Order: sequence, then C-alpha cells, then structure tokens
Amino acid sequence: MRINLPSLIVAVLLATGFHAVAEDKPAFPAGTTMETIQSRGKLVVGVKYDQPGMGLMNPSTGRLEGFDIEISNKIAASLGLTEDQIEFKEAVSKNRIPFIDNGVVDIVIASFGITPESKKAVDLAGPYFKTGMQALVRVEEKDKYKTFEDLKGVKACATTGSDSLRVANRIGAVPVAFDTYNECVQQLITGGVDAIPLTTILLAGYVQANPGRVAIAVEPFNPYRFGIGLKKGDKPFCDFINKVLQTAIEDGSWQKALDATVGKMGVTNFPPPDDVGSEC
Amino acid sequence: MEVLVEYSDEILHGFGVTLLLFVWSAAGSLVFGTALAAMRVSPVPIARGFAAIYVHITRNAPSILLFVIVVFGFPVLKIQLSFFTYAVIALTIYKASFVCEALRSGIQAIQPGQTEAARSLGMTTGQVLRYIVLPQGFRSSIQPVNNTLIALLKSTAIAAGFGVTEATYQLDELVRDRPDVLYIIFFGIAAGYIILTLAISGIAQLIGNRLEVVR
Repeated sequence: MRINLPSLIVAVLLATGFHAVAEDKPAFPAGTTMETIQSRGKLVVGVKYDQPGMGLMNPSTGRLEGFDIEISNKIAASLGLTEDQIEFKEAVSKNRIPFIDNGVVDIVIASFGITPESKKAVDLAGPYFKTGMQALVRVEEKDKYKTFEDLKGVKACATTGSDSLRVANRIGAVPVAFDTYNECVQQLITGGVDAIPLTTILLAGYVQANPGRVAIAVEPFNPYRFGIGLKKGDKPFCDFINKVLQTAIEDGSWQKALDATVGKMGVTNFPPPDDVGSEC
Repeated sequence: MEVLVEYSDEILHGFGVTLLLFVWSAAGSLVFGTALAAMRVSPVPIARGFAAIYVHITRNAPSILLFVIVVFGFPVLKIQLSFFTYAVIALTIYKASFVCEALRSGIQAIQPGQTEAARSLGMTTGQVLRYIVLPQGFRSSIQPVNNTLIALLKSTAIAAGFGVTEATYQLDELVRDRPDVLYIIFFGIAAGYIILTLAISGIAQLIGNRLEVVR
C-alpha cells in the first residue's frame, strides 16, 4: 500500500492532540478586563526603559529586559497571550497614574511603590517585589553617609515628580529634579549633586553601569513594596493578577525570573513577598 | 479650586523662582544682546563676523540643547555653579541672540543719513552708537524685545528638568501627589504664567507709551 504523506501527517497530528493548542486559552467571564484584553489579543503594559534589572531598553538588541518585563510575560501568559502580544509603553514616574486613568495602558509594572498617595489614585496588585531605599553617592564619599540622617542638607537628585523626590524633601535633603536618572548619575559623577536616594534594586544597576565611580551608601530605610498599577476599583482584575503572582512565587518561577535579571547585578537577598493580595 | 489655595505655598514659591530666573536672564540677555547688536552694526569685520556666527548658531539651536551643554558641559570643564546659575546662563546664551536681532532691526530703521551726519560732525564710532544709534534703536525695538521677553519667561520652564525648583517643577510635584485634580492644578499653573506674561507686556506698553518714536 502506498502511504499518502499529507494524510499521514494529519493523522499523526490528530492522534497527538494538536487540536489542544487552540483550546489552551483560559476562559474569562464576559465583561471582565481579562476578557477584554484577551479578545483584543494585546496586553498594553507601562514599564520603565531606563532601570537596569527591572525595566531597561537594551540599546544593542532593541529589546526590553528586566524583572518587570518577566512579570509582564507571566501575566500575558496567564491571559493566553504570547510575549509578542504585549505592547510596552514607556512609563515614567509622573505619567504612570494618568496612563492608567486614561486607559493608555492596561497595567503599569514600573517599580511603582505602594504608598498611601499612589493608592488614592489607582489600585495596586501585589506587592511583587520588596526593597528598601538607600542612596547612591560618589565612591570616595561612601563612608560619609551612614544613615539617611546624613543626607540632611545635601543635594539629592531624583526624577521630576518621583516619589524619591518627596522622600528627599521629607528627610531634609535639598531636592534636585532631572528628567531621567541617567542625568542624575551624570550630575553625581561630575559633582553637581551629592546623592541619589532610590530603592536598592534600582541603585544596583547604576553601580554596575559606573563601576569605581559610584557606590551604594546609607543603611536601608523607608521600606518599599512594588505593586502593579491598574484602574481603581477593578477588583476582579486585581485578584487575577494577585493569583498569577502567588502562583509564580509558589512554583519557583518568580525566583527564576529574579535570578535571571536582578540576580545578575550582584545584589541578592530579595525574598519573595509574603503578602501578595494585601492591597485589593 | 481649594486645591490651589491648599498648595499656594508651593505654587507661589515656584513662581517666585520662575520670576527670579526671568529677571536675571532678562537682564543678562539685554546686556549681552545689546553688546552683540553693537558688534553686528560695528565697522570692525571681526566683531561683525563673530556676532553673526554667534547669532546664527544659538538662535537656531533648540534651547534644551543649550541647557544640556551648560548643565552637563560646565562640570566637565570643572566649572561648578548652582543649577539656578546654569539655567540663567543657558537662557542668556539663547535669548541674547533674539534681543540682538530685535535691536538690530530697530537700528536699521534709522536713516543712514543720521549716522553720516554724526560722523561728519567728528563723532567716533562709540559716540555715534551711544548718542545717535542705540537710543533710537532701543526706542523702536521695544515691542520686538517685549516679544522676546515673553518667550523667555516661558522658556524658564525648561529649567524644571535641570534641577531648578520653579513653577513647572511644582506642577510636576503637585500632579504626582494629587492626580485627581490634575486639570485644576494644570490650569492654575498656566494661569500663573499668563498673569506674568501680561504683566511683562503691560510694563513694555508703559515704557513704549513714554519712549516710543512717534512717526
């Protein structure tokens, strides 16, 4: 008997459950945000482009990389979308809340600190990451700054409209605002400012990018919990994201994503958050 | 609207810095711009050439670029100044060329016969400028200079991204803390700028009424 090759392929595919691929998408109740995103076939995420380890546009590959991107991928996968179906938009500190409010993005994963102020404007799923605040200083002045009280009266640089700027104000530093942290680091190196108060994880990237010139100083203060920003009042969507995060923490993929991004920068010891879902 | 009252300290402080930025860079660009205009109409070829090149480069460069050059370039050259001073320098470099061209247009409106007459009376170049050309040039360029100063006031907002805590910086701070009243804050700050530009125009009008050449 002659074997008909095309029909053999079809038979094999049918037998091995090829059709299962098409049904792999999870189903969501109509009218939920999850269903809207799924039927649109696109998840729009606001991320940072300039924070090594978390969200960084790699200029040599033209691709975004970092822990925030990995988390975006997990959420997309749970919605039945591929990584190519995520549209990233650059979110900076001052536009991320309007981005959510105006529906420019579905979610913001951009080292977004859970604070009383941010909770007033948007809902935050998570936390998906916990860190503390420290300060980046010139390497030769590292020993001058032991606790955050040593930052009193020094020029502290942060981006316009960022939470770090508010903290700088509160601890009695002189706030200096630039549009990006790269400009702050440049000013720190040339002596225009004296410190960059920021979360440890974000500072680690700048130390790596400028070895021997800047260092992390000051005992960690002002604990930070990063959340995933979404439209206020969308509890089902918030619960959904929390479930994705909780699953990722439990099955070890959270740790794997962390090791592959943040872990490569020489800062470790970021335990997985144990209070996912406490915010909504 | 209460939100504007609630944050009036921050807003007023911001506009205080904006106004200071404006006053210093207006003074700087008027002085420097006058010097440039004098060079552009002088009989010395090197001075004329320098002023022309300067005007063409700075007038056609985006002002934000001049900020970047001053704020990031000066420290590299070991010139360490405050961010406020950097902003005044950047704005002065930028706006001086506009003041220069406004004055030059006023000067060129003076009939050459006047300069020739002054020269025939034995006046030196300096005297011709000081007694004949510049006084009349200033008078007929009050409105163009006014335009330049209004643009200058608005350009001070660029300093918000370069370490100066002026009105636009306060806008960013308030929008972060109170995104719920974004539009009220935005229009409140915009109204502040409009009040300041109207004040500048008013002053220019007063000066113009007293001094302007009536033809």
